[in-house]
Amino acid sequence: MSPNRKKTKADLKEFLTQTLGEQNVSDSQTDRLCYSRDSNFRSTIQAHFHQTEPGPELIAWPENVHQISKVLEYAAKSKVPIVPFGGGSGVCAGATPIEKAITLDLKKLNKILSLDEEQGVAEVQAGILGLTLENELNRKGFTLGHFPSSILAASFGGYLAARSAGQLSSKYGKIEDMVLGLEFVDGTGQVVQTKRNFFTNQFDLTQAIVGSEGTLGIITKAWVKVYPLHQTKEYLSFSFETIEDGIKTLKDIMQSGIKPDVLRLYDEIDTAMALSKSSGKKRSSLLPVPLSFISKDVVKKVKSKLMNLAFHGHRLLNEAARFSPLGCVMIVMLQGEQQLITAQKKTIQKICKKNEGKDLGAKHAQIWEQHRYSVSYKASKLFQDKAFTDTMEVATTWENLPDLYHSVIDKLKPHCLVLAHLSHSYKDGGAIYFTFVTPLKNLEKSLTKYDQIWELAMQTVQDAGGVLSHHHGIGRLKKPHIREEWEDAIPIYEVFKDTLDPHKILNPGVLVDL
Amino acid sequence: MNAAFEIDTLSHLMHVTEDISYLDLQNTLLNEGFEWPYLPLGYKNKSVLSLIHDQSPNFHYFSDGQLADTVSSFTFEYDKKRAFELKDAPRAACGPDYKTLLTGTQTPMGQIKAVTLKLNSLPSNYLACVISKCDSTDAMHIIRKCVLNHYHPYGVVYEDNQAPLWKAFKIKNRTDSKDLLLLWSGPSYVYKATSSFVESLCKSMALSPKFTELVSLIEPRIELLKHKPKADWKNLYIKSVWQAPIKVSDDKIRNELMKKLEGI
Repeated sequence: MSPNRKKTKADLKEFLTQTLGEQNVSDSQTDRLCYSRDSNFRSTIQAHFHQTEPGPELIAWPENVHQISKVLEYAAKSKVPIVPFGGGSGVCAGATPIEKAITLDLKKLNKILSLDEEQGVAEVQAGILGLTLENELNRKGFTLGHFPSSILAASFGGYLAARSAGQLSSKYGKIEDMVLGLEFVDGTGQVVQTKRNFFTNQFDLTQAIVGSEGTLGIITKAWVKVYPLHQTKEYLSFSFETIEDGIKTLKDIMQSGIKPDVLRLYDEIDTAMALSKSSGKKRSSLLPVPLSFISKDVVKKVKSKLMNLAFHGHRLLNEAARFSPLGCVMIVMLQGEQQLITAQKKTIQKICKKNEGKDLGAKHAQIWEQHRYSVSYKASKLFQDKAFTDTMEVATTWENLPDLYHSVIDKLKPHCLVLAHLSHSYKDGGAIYFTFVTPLKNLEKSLTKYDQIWELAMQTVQDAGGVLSHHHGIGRLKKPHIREEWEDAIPIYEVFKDTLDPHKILNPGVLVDL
Repeated sequence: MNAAFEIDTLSHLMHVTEDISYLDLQNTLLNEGFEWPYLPLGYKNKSVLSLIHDQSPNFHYFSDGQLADTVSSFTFEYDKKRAFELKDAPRAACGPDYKTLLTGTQTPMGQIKAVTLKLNSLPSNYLACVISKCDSTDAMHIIRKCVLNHYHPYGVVYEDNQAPLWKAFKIKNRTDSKDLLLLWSGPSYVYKATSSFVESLCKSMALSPKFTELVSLIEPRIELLKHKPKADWKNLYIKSVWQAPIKVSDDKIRNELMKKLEGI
């Protein structure tokens, strides 16, 4: 719901220009279009059919926390909705603005302010992009240990706002495990610094702001744990006949006390899609026929047609791929001191042998590493092949995981091609990352299909006892299910909202409608 | 199995539906081959649900985190009428984390009525390391290096020769002061790498570590609860690693929040 705004666009533009400088304010059509959405696939379908959303009225690029404070103070008095924006890599429409909003892009807050090498603490501004942050830490011999597949585009503040997880989460945890404290500006313009409280019984505000998706405050910087960088790596791959054997192996590894850097298990279809590529060769894993004797354009068209036919025949594909010769592949990457990783490798091999895993050597884990950030960029190729895709990441306990996996696959497979991998494991459970692909028809039919698949998937997950999201957040797209998820915890969130954003200007319409 | 609790051996969780004493809970778990990795340094013979409301530093902080990290979910009752139940899931991204917000924070707004605890398999053995003549700066440096290089200690004792854990060791040449005791649990394959790392670190600091493997720590671990540790020892937990120079300024908001939460 949009607050009842008291200022005209001209008033706002004048204020922003005075406060931030002319170069840091825009209302151009191009900028408004660029900031009209994040990377969610529903909006991508709309964009494919040339349907765009209105975008914010103005975009501003503050350079420091004081400017953000002034803007929020003004916005609170004028009841102007504010949408924080990092890299725009979110996939739940969490940074999609409502009409008449100002989008605050934080990318100019892009520094590592300090690095305490002795204590292992970095003080980092919210707008720095993930890869820049990691590269800068690496140059000083450190790592954050956070590698989401969106690292090329996502911002550090976005990590925190959505409770992000990286590919090395089994060793380093999620972003909420790494954060030691943060600075944010609340909905009245007040600048607040919080500190994690690990040892006393004091209420810890940090974990209210982390994951609040910009609805309780705008995160401007945070202090995080960092670790010395180790170059030595070992790769392992194993194949399992059934997903259940693979899940049991993940569980046994995590409960043994070992924390591998990377531990991922792919079901049969996802194994075929993600791990069967030959290193360095560019070809689709679904089309293993060499086509080099035909011109590139023809190959492209034929491939596109075949892909589209395959997605139309998803029922057959869903069944056939379950007989993939590789089965379900689990990959492991270990990094650190040689002696430690040798010992970990021995333990993992022993567990896999016990669970009848077939040792495939290093190859599949290395293939994964070569393509580790490319998954997010395959979607546009699918659109060219007249199909669309989306992903859903949910979590539950080890006891529930096999049932949840089968429930979602069974419910979705009449409607689309559906595949899954388990990419984040803990002692008590793990996260499943489902991908669905279905043919693109006209706008109306495609959106109806998209919404139908999501509704079915979310309801199935909730019925099976899983949580709605492990690391993408809620945004606007999963919001219809949040009341069922939170139940009577909603009044607690309302107290936070009333206290930190009394004028309801921060990212309205995201997370929950009050 | 007691009706008050149920152990999920697959997910390593324990559902506690009626309050029980901490010692009864840990003893029950020991018989089942598990432990709840929360050993409060500030234990006052409390029940599990009271401990959940009032966090003390965890002896297993470096390996298992703070109190909230050892809790999977709970049922929270407030306003005498309303209650919500968190789902058991290792992690979530569904807004603010109510579990961390409410666990151990003595919130006046309500009560945790039932809780699911995260368990570890009872370690089959432990690696212990004693470093003598180690001043507090060196002790903190050693702990920090171990943690940052992923050799997370299961527990630490410093300059406290009365601590019950010492009884478990038969290490000769131990001096009476400035002794640092580090413990690790986990797959014994890893112990060789751990001792090699610590040995090389200590060598660079002109210190001599002595290692031993132990089969059981059950009794001294429980006795540790009744022991009043010296302040320096607890400070090692607080100051060794990840100290961020934050100028905390959330008092006003926290107080306002607590007041409002109390009233809902």
